[in-house]
Amino acid sequence: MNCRSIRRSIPLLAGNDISERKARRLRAHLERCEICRNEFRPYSAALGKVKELADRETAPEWTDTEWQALMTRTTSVRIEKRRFFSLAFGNSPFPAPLLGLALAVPAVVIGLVLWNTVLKPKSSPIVPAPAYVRRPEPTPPITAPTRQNQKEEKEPDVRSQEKSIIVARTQERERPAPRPNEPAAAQKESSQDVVSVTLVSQETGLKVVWFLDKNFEWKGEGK
Amino acid sequence: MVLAGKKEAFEPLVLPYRGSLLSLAFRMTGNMEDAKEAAQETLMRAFKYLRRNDPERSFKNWLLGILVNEARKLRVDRINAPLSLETEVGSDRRLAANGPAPGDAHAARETRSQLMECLTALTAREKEIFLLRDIEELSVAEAAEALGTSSISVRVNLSRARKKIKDAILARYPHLAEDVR
Repeated sequence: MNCRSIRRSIPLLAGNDISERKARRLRAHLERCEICRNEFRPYSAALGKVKELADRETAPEWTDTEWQALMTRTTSVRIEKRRFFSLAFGNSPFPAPLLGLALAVPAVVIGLVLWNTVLKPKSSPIVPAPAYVRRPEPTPPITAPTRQNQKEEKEPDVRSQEKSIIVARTQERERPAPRPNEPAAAQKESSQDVVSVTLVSQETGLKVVWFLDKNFEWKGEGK
Repeated sequence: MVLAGKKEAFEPLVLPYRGSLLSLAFRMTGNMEDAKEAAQETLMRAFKYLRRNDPERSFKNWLLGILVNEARKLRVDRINAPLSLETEVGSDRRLAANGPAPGDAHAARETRSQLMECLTALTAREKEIFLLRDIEELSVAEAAEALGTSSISVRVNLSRARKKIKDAILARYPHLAEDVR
């Protein structure tokens, strides 16, 4: 402890308002340091003088008549009634924060139960997606007509001969592996849908497939 | 007993503090008229709100806490109210009429004025704390409880108050400074 911090504590030391441990350290310092001791002594003397003046002072007093009149006036006042809290809990041994917590916990639980049972808005029913967003049924892959197939087609089934069948299929072209230099837009373009239209002759059984892009522009044909 | 409806039991309850209430009120307000008003108001409030007193706390400290608040309110009222010469003269006459014999009264007034003059060096807060701690001899914790503040605040204000009082006393009694050297 240096003299500066000692001097800050001197007014409290003069009235014995610091802990015993700190007071011992301060007194030990005062015995060694004359400057601090000279700082401390006037405080003790001044406090002693003030107490002496206070003791010598004639205390003001009420006369008996005044006192009796005051007591009559005082006791004519109505005593305050018990407040709601003390009325409800009386002289409870629990401190107020504990009681508050004890009340708050059931209140929160009741609130949660009410919310879940009565007050919570019900979730909207599941609306089926419109038809146009439905995923199309998977279609079998188109295979190029082989000689055997052609032979089979030359001898068509009775049911297939009844009428020409036009089948329009939509399939996604196999996406080629993106080239490193290809821009992103071009890569996107390659994954566009291709529409195929299959024409089957009722008489000969010949099958022609037209490939159209998404704008119905001719892309090619297959047999 | 008082709370049970026996109002007469209030007087024995407050009688031991009759003198200290009035003298503290006088030191706080600085004049007899205000001191009596503050002490009277204190007793009336204490009776009215007796149910709020915590039996585990000291009754005297509770009373002193109310008195400090009443004195503070009165001081604020006096600051806001216009000064009246008649009130001051009347107060002095009453003081003279209620006091001891003329010779003793002069000595007492001299002592009182010396102490009161030292106390004028303090701010209102410092005066409250100094009076409770060093004159009424409450502990720091009790003073803090009575004033509704922290012990740290009491210690800080007490330090300042003692320093100012020391300066005021040494200015008034220079021989004290020489005696201690």
